[in-house]
Amino acid sequence: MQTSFLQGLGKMLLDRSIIVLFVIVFLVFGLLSPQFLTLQNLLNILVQSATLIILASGMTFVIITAGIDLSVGSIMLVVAVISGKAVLDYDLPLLVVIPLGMVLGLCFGYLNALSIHRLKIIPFIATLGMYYVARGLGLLISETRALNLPESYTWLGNTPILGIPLPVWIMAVVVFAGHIILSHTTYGRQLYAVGEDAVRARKAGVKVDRIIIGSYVLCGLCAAIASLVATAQLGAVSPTFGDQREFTAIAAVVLGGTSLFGGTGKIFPGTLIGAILIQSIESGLVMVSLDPYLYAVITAGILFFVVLIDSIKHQRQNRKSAKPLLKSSS
Amino acid sequence: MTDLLRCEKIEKSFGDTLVLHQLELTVRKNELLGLVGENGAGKSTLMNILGGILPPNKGAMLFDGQAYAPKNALEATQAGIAFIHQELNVLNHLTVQENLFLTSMPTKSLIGVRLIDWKQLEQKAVAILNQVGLQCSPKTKMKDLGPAEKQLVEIAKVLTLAPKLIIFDEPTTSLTLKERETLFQLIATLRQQEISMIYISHNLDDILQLSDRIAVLRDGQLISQRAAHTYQKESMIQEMIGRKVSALFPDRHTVPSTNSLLKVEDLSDGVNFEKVSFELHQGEVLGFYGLMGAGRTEVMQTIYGLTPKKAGAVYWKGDLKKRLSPRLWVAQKAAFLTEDRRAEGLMLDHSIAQNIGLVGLRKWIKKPFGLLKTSLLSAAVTDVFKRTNIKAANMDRQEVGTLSGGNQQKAVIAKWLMLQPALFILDEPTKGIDVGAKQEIYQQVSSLVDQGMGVIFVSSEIEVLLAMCDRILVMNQGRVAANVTRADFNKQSLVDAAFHQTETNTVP
Repeated sequence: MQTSFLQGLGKMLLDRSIIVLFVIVFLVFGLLSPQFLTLQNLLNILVQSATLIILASGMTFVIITAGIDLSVGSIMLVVAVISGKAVLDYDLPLLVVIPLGMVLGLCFGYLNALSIHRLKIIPFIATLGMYYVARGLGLLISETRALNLPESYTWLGNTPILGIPLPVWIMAVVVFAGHIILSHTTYGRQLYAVGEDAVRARKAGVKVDRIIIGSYVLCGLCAAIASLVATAQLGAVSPTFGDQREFTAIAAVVLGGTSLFGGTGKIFPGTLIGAILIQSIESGLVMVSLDPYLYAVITAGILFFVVLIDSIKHQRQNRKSAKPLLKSSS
Repeated sequence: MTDLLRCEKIEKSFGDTLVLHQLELTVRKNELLGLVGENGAGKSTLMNILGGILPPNKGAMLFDGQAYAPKNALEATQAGIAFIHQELNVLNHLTVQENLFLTSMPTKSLIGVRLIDWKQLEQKAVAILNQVGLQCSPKTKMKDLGPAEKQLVEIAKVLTLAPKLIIFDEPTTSLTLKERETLFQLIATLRQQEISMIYISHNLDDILQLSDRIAVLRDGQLISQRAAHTYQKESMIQEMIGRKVSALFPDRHTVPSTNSLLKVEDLSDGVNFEKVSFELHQGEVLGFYGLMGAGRTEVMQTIYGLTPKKAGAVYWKGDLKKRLSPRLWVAQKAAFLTEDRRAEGLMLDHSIAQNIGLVGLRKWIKKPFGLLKTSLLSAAVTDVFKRTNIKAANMDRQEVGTLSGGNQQKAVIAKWLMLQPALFILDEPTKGIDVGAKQEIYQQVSSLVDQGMGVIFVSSEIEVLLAMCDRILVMNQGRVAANVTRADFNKQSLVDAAFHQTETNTVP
């Protein structure tokens, strides 16, 4: 009785590892720093995590196909630089600049997709190439100088609607749309099929190439939206803008329960929670004024822990799926 | 009766090898055509041509009164030809209904966005599942179904396309006897719906039982195509191989010694089998009979250290071996031919020679530098390659995956022979391979035992075990149900022991 209760509890905690981690993180930081659990801070975390959530939502599509996109941080930079220039040098209105940025993101995503499905370059290398190309372009256009954006642009990042800042609304729309696409459209269901086994999906009549192209295009689009939101929030584009954001995004997706092997995972709640968790840890560490160089180590430790739990869960499932022949009573 | 499909003088060659030669084949309306032939006879090539995956070099096809030359799989499907492949093509993370309608999901429009109409999808799925007699919720995840149920889903999927001709390629290899009956019943129902079928199998009894007509293929040519009742099993085999099979099984005349080789006491893994005990002597062939899922494979995997044991002891030549691992067994020269050669026994993308050389590698490492003596190794590999009679153009360059099933199996055997094993565990060694290759494998086993090796022979074919074994162990629902020596062999009692189900202990 005792053991079965403990086993049941263990299983329950394993199944909800991300929630458990969430609770632990909030408890620990709440105890260490009284300001952490204030409503204001929680809202801050949400605002700060908006770009990461948007970026990671796009990444979820790619990772479900068992792919990876290392170029999103660089796409963020090049989109930010070009749209920043458009505002500063050419004085274009936002109604032009925002669609321009989004189309740019789509294009870079499409280029990634082309080199993956046309030239048959593995996603890791194809997007690593794009990582350098896009960052190089961004630095070239900006001449490695920071761009300071005018008020006419930054209001996007601060204006609240119904008391909630615009970036959070944009994030909510992206998450909602992403979730609908994944769970309620033919494209979404076929995306999971391709991720599980591209050969089988092709045999089942799925147009695998289109599905994969779509995932990278969506990922590029999300990177562009994240870029526009982030520039509006920061008010400036520095040469290091977007640097290493791809890794944070991948970490958020994996934390949210999406397998790097493809075929499983969700934006809502998975990726959403994963991204908020990472942001919470970062801002929590700032509040308890820990050495900033330790942030990465701690984040990595937590990520390792979650992936470990995922692996344990996976093994348990495999063992369970072997149907027992013997009755448990024997 | 009129012809539904007519193949006229089909020719196909790969490079210099002619695979199909002036092949003529007809399928009539509303008939089930049994198609038999050895591995490499050209069955798969013919099916690939029908399915639009390969184009023929010469010849023409007529389907349903019209010229038929599919450019791809989609065109074949649209023309009304559907396939049930040996390897199930299902997506395990998706639900049954999503698998059924993956490319034709019913949708409804919501403010211009096409969303899946779940209600309609479920209705359509339920209707089609009823048609194949599968009672499960269409929302079940595919991974929660057994192999037989997955196959039913595949058939259901095919039925959504309203096919005129369904081609079954070895559909029974992973089914239990009972599941096979269900499949046959379904095939009977499909017949009433006036769907023609081509049924490919190595199981000649099934072919004789199911077919209206039978076609025999050999070396890319049609040898005969007649009404099924004009065939007997023996004559069919003769036509397939092209020579008289004097005896499928070799004469077993050696007597096992009394030296214990492997002794297993009360072995349990806590899930699949319990308290399994037996002893294997040198020069003995010990058969393991039972239904699919009786726990035979699991026992072997546990002995070989692939899955953990829960209780019990394993003795090797009288010594207790506490930690079982493949490494230990390779060191002790015990070989294990796994049930699934493609997934577990071979590196499909590597050459034949690389596969054969793999297990025995350590033997060819020479001092002082611990480097591999490739010249000695390749000499030994060549020797084994010849001894096992693998039919391949070039063992150094040809990938194992390109060999036919029977030759792949021979390659696995060759690999283990490099060890010069003292014990050979064979788990369903003749699954999915043709008669000729089977005969060679039986011969191989017999000659190994003559040299004093011990063999454990796991099989679901009682005839094979009766002919090959010195002793047969019957497993039933995870337990040893019978242990019979050659003198007392009785087919009926062995089969009964395997099938008998106790009231308190039913298979889930």
